[in-house]
Amino acid sequence: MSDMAAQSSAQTELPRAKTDWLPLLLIPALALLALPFVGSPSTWVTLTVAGLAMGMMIFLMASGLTLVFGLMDIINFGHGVFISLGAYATLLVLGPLAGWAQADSLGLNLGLLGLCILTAMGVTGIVGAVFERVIVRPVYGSHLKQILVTMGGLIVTEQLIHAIWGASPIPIPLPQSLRGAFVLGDIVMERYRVVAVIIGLVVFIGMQLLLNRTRIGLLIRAGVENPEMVEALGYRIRRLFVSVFIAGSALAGLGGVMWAFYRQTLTAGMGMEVMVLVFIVIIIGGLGSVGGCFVGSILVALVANYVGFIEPKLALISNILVMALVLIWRPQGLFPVARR
Amino acid sequence: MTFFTRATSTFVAATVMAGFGLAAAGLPAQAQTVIGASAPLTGPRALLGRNFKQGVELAVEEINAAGGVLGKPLQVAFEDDQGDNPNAALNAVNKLMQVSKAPVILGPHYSVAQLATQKTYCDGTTISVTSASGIPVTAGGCKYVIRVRGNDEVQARALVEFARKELKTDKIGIIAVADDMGRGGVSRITAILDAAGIKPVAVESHNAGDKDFSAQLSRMKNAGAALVIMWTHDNEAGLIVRQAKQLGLNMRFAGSTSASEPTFIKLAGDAAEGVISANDFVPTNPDPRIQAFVKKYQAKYNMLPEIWASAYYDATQLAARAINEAGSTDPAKVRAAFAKMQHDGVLASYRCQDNGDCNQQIHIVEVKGGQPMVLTTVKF
Amino acid sequence: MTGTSTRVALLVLFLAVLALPPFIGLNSYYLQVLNLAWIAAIAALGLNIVTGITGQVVLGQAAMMGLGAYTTGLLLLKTSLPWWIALPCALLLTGLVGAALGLISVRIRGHYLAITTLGLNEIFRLVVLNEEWLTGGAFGLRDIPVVNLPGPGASTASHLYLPVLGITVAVYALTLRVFRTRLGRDMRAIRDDELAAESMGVNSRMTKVVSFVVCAIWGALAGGLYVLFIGFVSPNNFVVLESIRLLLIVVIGGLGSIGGTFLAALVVTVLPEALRDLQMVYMAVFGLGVVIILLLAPRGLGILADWILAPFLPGYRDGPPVAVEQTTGISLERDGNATGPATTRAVPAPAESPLLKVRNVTKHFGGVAALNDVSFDVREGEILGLIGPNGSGKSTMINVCSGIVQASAGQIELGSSVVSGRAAWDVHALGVSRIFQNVRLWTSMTVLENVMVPHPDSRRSGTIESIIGTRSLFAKEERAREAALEALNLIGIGALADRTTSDLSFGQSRLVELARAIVNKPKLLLLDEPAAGLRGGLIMDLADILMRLRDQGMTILVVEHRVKLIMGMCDRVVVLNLGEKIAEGNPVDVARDPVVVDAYLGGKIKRDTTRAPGRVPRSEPIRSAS
Repeated sequence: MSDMAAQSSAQTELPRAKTDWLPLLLIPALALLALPFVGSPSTWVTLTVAGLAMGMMIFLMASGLTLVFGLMDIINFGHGVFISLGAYATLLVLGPLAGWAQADSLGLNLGLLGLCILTAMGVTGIVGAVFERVIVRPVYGSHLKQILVTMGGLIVTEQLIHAIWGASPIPIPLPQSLRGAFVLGDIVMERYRVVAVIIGLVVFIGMQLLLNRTRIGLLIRAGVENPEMVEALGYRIRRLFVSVFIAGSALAGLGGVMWAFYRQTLTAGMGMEVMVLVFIVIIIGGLGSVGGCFVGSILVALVANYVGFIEPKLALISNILVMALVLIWRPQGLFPVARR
Repeated sequence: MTFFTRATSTFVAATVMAGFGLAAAGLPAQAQTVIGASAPLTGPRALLGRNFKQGVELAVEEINAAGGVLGKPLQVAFEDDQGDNPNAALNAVNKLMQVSKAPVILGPHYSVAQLATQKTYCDGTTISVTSASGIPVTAGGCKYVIRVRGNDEVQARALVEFARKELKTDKIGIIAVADDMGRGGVSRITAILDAAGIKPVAVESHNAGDKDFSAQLSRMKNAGAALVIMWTHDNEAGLIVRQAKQLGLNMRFAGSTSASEPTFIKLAGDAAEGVISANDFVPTNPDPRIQAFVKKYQAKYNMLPEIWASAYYDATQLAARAINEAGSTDPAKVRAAFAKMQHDGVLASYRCQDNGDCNQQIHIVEVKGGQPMVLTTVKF
Repeated sequence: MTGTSTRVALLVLFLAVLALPPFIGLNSYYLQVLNLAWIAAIAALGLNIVTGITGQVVLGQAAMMGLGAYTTGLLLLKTSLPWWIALPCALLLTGLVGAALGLISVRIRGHYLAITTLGLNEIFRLVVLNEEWLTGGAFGLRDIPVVNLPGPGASTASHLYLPVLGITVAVYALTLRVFRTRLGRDMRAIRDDELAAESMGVNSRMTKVVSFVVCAIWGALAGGLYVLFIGFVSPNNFVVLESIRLLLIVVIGGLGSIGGTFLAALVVTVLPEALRDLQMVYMAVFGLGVVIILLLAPRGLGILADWILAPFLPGYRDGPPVAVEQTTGISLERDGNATGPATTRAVPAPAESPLLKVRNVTKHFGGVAALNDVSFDVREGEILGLIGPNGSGKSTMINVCSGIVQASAGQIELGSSVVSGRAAWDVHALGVSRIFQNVRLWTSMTVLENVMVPHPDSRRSGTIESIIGTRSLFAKEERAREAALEALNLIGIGALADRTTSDLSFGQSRLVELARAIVNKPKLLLLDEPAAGLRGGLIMDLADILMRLRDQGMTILVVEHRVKLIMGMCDRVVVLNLGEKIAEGNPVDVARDPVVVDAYLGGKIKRDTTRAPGRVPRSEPIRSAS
């Protein structure tokens, strides 16, 4: 309807999502709660920092899926393959630029990481576009078929990775200056994890700004809540869908790169391995909510670390327990998005 | 209606054909001696299956060059068991028994697949030659299983005893993966320690595929472990020692077979130095018999052999010899031939006991300069 | 040209072919594969009930199978119970877990439920792995005594072939019966439109729990049979992939198609075995085949199966369709002296005693008050019009009265019972029925089934008898069917009875919805813009029907825009504006009330001005029906 009104207000101030603080408090509350049980403060800091870093990496891998899930209402079991693909794409850079990885220069090393990320995002973005067209589009609206077809797409793409790069695991070296740890007294922080935290935060803040401060972000948010309305307003929701799918795949590629350097081995199944975790995280956060995905990732990783230390037997199912508790509290995740 | 009638009958016919029509297709040609192999050809374990298959094919080549089996060329019929999938293994073994009429089957390799299929083959229609290391595999009273590797007990005992003697510590912690391999390992190690009157200072587990071991390592540190025994897969073991090094922990590490595998060594880098493990096969073993095998394998496949290729190379050689010595493919006679045989293979000098265990030795390996080096060979 | 006998003959032939294998000397490999197919067919059928028929996506059916298998195996191993006690115990236990899951599904829905059930596989696996003292850990339970039954052939697979096949066929026959009677209708109604189902009396909570229980029990039965036949279970039998495989069977079979699930189980189990000779690529070829089926046959193998099974499915009529001319409108004349359901009720009571008392009802959505302290009565035997501009809270009022939305404050009474605070299906049981502003029929069901759902005899048949299939169930089914036909005839659309509702025009759908609303002879009928989308002639017919219903003793609360309709049929009118009642009285007086006129014209203009300057108010004054 009033296109002009919407536009003029868009220029002055875009309506922002209301902030719900309660779930955000969960993280510090959890960390504080764990402190007396862990006992030693230095162990606690180590566990917390490790958990935060792990959470960031999970977030990087999951953030794309929550958008795709939320906006397009597509259960993409194939998301994991973009993680693998992004990881393997690093080989395209590491091959010719192997010297950069050995060089003991932070600049070169970070440059290499940056190049890897860009390449991976490019590759996964393109494959994502193809995946959307060939595999996902025929099954819009049918969730069960989506599960099966995207799973089939995942297997095929995994086989493609096998065909291109071979079935054996491929070791990849972490750039020289990212190895080792910062040591502050009793507290140890792996350097790479610190890098992961920084990249995770940058991506998170970037996504928040994009979603909350830009026109396209407004459209995406509106699309998550009510796609028919966005379409009725004259926007081509299809094009929006495709771009979000590509962006989601590229984000998975980014997550894949970070994950690959962390594992330092590439296997075609590496993406599939984390999929259950990724699903749990986006369910905890609320489908379509980037902030929820962020909080959920950190929550799951922290709980895994604390529980692993305090009551190891429970650690194996800690993520499922967290999911169950959150869903009992809020059946649509920490940050429910209106439509579902 | 006619369309549907026709479609129905076509469908019924197709189903019947698909299900039953292959009965004739798979019968062995009489010109060859056929044995079976149940290996993970597809799925996440396919890499293991490839090595398995390469080992078998190298052996078949040699056997046939030397005159084959019972005067006829040896042929191995492969069926996919998808590794640790009991249903796939049941179908594979059943098909090899019923359709290929194989008197001997190489594999299934995974303990769980072995246990699932023993009810089927132990009635005496066929013999399974496996390298599954789970203890129950030869403890269930099955007379028709032959095992070419030491069981988990052998591995664990050799490792623990060596570590205690060499490192002179009883402050031992255990990190194990929460699957059949890890669980089995933990119960072995604790039992062995228990017999020596020691309690492990900490026992930790993790899920297969886990990447962050901060919690487990922190507990090891707090418990004051001087030696940590890892009973887990190569990837996870690599990450454990690497993260321990980055956290500045200075305990020693020992591990199952995986801690001398190439993936582990590459992944762990410097942190792998000094890690001790028990392994049936390392290609760096200077033993001339092993070096000869390594050369042949490299020449054929342009890659280094690893444990599964070697194990099933041996298994194939053993099976062929047993059939030849029995002079028949009658499973009972072949089984009797196994019992009488003495065979020098790549993994060990085989001598079969009543329960089917044919290999009672293992190497203790330490990573030195980025290579697994055999320190000693333990024989039980 | 009797379609039924052809189909039944084909079915019998098909079953006979299936029973043949043990007698023709097939070796035990083939028999075992077929046995595994039948076991998968049972487990997948359970999944089909909850996912295909009730519409709740479950990705954890393998865990149910596993629970049944382990319970059976453990009872056999650790106690010396015979298998025919151990198996039912396992079914019972798994059924309880299913019930818990069903209760969870009432709160956690859609994708959230799907992922939660996905976690079920993982929990099951980890518990079995870790509780080694009980479960045998990763190596599984071994040496479970296999059932020995006499039978043809030499192997266990051969001996057990016919029993397993027999159980499978029995399970399918039972499920087929449940599918086409009360319980199955309720399940399908929930899948098609849960809200409509609830307001038509379907206890969605109970129905979901029952469907989860049946799903779990079929899963456990499959798992139990597996153990009794194979004698071995390990956690690896029941991993996520197995759940996905079962889902694959359900989808390839055509969601909700019972026969299709059977065929798909056969295909999905046998095909990979038949392709084994392709060695490394056989699973890839199988996957490709699956994708082709998924893309080329959206309804899967169900097309074929449902054709054969049609005589056992709802909406089937043997022989040529009954020659009734297409009815598009209402033919009152024909029903002039019929004894429709409404006519059997007593003559109207004096129109003074209130039937529905709405007292100080307030409803907030977030910070917005959709209803603010509204009170009025609906008197017995009257047609009360509820009018007001857009956004005045009329639909919310109807929703509150029918129990779909709970009031934030205030109370609603029907006769002597309190309505507010009750679930929609309880409100329906008290005698409140409704139609929706945008027609909400259950589109996969036939017209007749749609109308049978709310009938008291449907509602009264218990869960147990629905599953067992007692004689009283069939008697109730028959009564519900007759009453539904009568209701359809009363509205004049009896000829549509066997049509699927998705094929109907909008006008026809509206009439079916009306028949569905009156079939249980409600005390109070709530109509939310019943004439919306109808053509002129139909509208006046509708008014006639409503007045006839009123004359036969039904009380009606109707939300409507059209002045002509309101004036023509309403005894009294209540006017809402911005959530508040602004007028009440007879239609002529109310139409002249300055407050009402202002609400429709003035107030609206003022409000719109603040939002979009210079725009014409969107909602016009009370339109006349043209």
